[in-house]
Amino acid sequence: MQREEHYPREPPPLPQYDISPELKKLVLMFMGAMLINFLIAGALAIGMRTIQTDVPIIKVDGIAQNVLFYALLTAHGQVMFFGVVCANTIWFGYYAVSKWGRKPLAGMGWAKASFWIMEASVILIFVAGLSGFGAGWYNLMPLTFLPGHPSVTWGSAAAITFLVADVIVGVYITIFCIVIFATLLRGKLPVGTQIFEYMHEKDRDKGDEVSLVKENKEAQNIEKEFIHQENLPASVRWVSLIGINSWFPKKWRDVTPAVPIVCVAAFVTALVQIIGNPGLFVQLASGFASLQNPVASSNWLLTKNAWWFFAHPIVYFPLLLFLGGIYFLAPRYGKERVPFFKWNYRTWPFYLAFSTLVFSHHVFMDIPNPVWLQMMAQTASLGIVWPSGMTIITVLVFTWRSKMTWNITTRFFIAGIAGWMFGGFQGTETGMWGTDMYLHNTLSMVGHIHLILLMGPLLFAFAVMYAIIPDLTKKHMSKTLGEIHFWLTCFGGFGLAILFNIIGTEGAVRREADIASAFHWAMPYLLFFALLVGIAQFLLVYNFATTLRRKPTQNETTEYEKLHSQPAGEGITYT
Amino acid sequence: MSNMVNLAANYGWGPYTLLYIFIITVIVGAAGLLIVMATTRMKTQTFASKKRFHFERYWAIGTAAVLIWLWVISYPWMPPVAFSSINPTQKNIQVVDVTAGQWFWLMHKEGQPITPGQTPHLTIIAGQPVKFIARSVDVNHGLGIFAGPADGSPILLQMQVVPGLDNVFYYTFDKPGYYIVRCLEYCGYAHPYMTSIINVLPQPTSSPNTLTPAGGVAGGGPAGV
Ligand SMILES: [Cu+2]
Repeated sequence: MQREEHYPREPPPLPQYDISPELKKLVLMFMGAMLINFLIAGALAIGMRTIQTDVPIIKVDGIAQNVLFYALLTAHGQVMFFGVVCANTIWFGYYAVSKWGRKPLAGMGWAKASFWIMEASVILIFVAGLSGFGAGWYNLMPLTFLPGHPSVTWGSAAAITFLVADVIVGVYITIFCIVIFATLLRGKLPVGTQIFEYMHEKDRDKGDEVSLVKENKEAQNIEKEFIHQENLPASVRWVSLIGINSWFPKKWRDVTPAVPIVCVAAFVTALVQIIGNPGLFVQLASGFASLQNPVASSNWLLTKNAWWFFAHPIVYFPLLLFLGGIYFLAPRYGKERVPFFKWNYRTWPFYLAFSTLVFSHHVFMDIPNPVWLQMMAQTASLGIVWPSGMTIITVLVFTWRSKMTWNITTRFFIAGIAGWMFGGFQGTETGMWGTDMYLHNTLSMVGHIHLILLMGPLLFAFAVMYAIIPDLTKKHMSKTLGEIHFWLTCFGGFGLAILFNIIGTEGAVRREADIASAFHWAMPYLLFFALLVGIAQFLLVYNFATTLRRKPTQNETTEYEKLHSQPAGEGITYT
Repeated sequence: MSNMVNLAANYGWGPYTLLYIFIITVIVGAAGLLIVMATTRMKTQTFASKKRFHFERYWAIGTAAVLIWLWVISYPWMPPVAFSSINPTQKNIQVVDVTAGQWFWLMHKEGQPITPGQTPHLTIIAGQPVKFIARSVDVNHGLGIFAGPADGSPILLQMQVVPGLDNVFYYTFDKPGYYIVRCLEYCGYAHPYMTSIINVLPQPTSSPNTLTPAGGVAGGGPAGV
């Protein structure tokens, strides 16, 4: 692999279709809001780390310190989820279905509304936090209404604010899902067939392999012949958008249309989440019903299961779309195109099935749950490892087979895959009854979630930001700042996650404001790593803001115009 | 990692150890792949390489096989399965009623007089199965019993204490000694201080012990039964 010195001065071979200026602005607004939310939620984390490090300047007495810690923890968790990683999926989702779907986004007004609704929810989460609300990011009822001593913790007003914030979260995520459906399920879609496998068969008959150059030319010719916009009948459209056709026998596969894999990813993401969302509303309904009389016998086990039915899909929500995006954006600097390769698509029906059911591993330790749920929990938890492993390997071998360039985007992608992969191993461990017994509710889980969210999807989102900002603004972000941002984020993020893992495996219990003395030694290091991550994000914010404000250079304008005057078919990277 | 190693040793070659071996293997493999990726420059790469199709297929079958194997070795650890080896009519089962609340543990062995304020709160006998029946008077708690009295002892067993339900867990303590109890589910600002102690006494030599399940699962399952 060669190191590209000129990044970011290279034309991004994204699809030729130019998304609307309105959508570009919305995507940038989401990015900006996400960065601000990230800084604020990160500051809350620094607060938690500082409390546990016992820095003398902010030393407060025991109870107040614990109340503060849990309020920070709650707001940190929910804002990171609903204001940062979910926001990433939303801007990339809107961008991707329009760009790779080569059509305007359906319901632009609704998409804009989702932005403001998201920000409203984030503000309400903060307001609840300021009122001392600290029931944990997963809002485990009935703690929401039974905080122990409301006078020193939070009252019903803060609890109601928090419940309303989460209702709004459910609303904006639902809007996102509907916008994605409306865009993908109506009108024409770009469509291709599995031409490369066809070529493979042909070559095998010949008994020799053709060179990359020759094949690229052939591929281009065939692409022009086979790629077109098509108005698929509903049944075929669903089959293609879930990726089921990749499991068809070869005879059928050659004639079933393949849509760009990023559209498959967007569709599956929206489908999983729209199935999971009712869980949130059931949990919240149970909460509102309990406001009058918290001790009344609501079914708290069902309430908890309902929450996880929503909240485990929400862990995949920030991830899945970017997994589709990697195939286009990581090798975009490579010389190879994304073929319609059956193994790239075969994972998607499994993501759909298992990320809907995998919530149940949160109930391993809830012994009264029925046996079938326990069975399903382990089956789905280990089941989702399979497509994850497939995605990792198809991306890695695909990248390996490309002439990849190590620029900021590919760096972030590879680091993100590493983080997500290591987090995934832990997911495998905790997806099993025998091991979850020892790891559940330890800081090892905190390490796990920081690996699979911070060091996975968030790094992917940064990768995509650096890659598509030229398309949105005609301008490139600074390479030097980008590099520093990358290394600081990785060093801090991996340090944080790995240290959480080590002390968690040693038995450090999570959600303890007052950490056991055996683990005090780790606290200053955790603070240090968290600060590194925080400092890095200021560089990104500065880079982002200055890029938006400055005028495009002549080179950048020329490059942009060249991109959008490519002949049809150039840069189309599916089939 | 010493605790982790101790724990693995205490439990024999159970899934915990096996899984770490599996993970280390995969990490080494993945690191190798990354090194190869970083150092190899592909000269001519064809779309039609025959290897590519085979590699993905073998990977798919291989990972599926490993996952099925993991499912199978973890199956006996599922609480209902692990508990099923206990015969509920067994005579020497020690039934312990656990009451959890903000922020206290009340643990009482059936048949023992209640002595409030007594420390340690619970005294039981090693080698005889214990049936914990835990109930919460307010919010969700987590009954976590640690393998020793010290701060930083590894977790021995845990179970959520969901309000409104009887949460039942069977366990047999093999070694006499003190075991710390902590709340493992966040339950409010004093959650870190919700602790207790269990005192496990050696088995009296005179007591008949013919019904206690021995060996095998005793070392391996979460139920320790
Ligand atoms: Cu508790």
